[in-house]
Amino acid sequence: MKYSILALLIAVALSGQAQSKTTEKLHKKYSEALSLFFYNNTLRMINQTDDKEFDELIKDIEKMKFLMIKKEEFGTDDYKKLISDYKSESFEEMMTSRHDGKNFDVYMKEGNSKGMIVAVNDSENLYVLDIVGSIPLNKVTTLFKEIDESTEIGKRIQEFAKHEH
Amino acid sequence: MKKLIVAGALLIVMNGAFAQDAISKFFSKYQTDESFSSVTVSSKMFGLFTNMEADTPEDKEILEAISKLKGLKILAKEDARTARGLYKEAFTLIPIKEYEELMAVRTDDKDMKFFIKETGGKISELLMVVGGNEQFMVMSLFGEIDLKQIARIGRKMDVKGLEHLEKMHDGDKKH
Repeated sequence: MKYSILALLIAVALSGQAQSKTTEKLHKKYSEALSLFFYNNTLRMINQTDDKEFDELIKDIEKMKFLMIKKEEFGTDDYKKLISDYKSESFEEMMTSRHDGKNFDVYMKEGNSKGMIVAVNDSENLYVLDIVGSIPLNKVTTLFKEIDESTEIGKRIQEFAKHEH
Repeated sequence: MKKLIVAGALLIVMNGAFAQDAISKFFSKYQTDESFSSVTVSSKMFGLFTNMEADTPEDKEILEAISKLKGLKILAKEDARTARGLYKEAFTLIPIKEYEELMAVRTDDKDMKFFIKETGGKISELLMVVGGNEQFMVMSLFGEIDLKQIARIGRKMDVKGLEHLEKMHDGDKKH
């Protein structure tokens, strides 16, 4: 018992990097928003089918936070401010795109604390995925596909959560 | 001495300002138009490819070519009514005189034109303009471009249109 607590403490201590300040601020402001938080182990647990490709994708992800915020509370100017906040945290623009009314933007931070922000913006919601760690480049498209699918799942989880209360 | 430095700095800034891609004017006009799809990829993204491992010498060449790219901009629209009009408009907004036409491809449902811009003996921009019955697209790829590698990438990623470039060699240009 003692050893497992020790192991847990060490794991927490070693996972030095924190989620980005901007993300934390965003979550605090929209505390009612759907938020999902995953540690590397949680992600591995999700991989029920032992999908090797998924394993490769998540192996350097230390932790990640997913936020889903309703657009009625969050406007274009808020989005612009959010992006500039991320940029002041040394996140650099990697790719921005827009298709079928959906915006899809990727920002990345290199150096000691690696991180990636994926922000998806459609008419109803803003989705932010804040990843601490890195993703192998050739797996990035897999990740994007998963995110696209998960925004659907995110909506379903939120509806489910509403029913529970 | 100070004057030289200031002049030098000014020159660099001016060069930076003019080293814009063809599509910028067009982009600025339609960037916020929601009926257009757009993609912008920064040099940071391309730079990441230098850290990737290559399985074959061919892949290694491709990765090296990608890492030399400075940016990619795409603007597209799927709309039967305006596609042909946009195609014509593109040629008025894009400084075509600064570019050399590389190739023109015409198929049943669309016209495709490729242009390049050379700076210092190297290809610094590849421009592709497509106008069809239902689709319009303009793509600008800029940086240090190796046409052979771009064609290879286009083929591997199944990017419709780029495979035509494989028929071109760096030396062949339309005069």
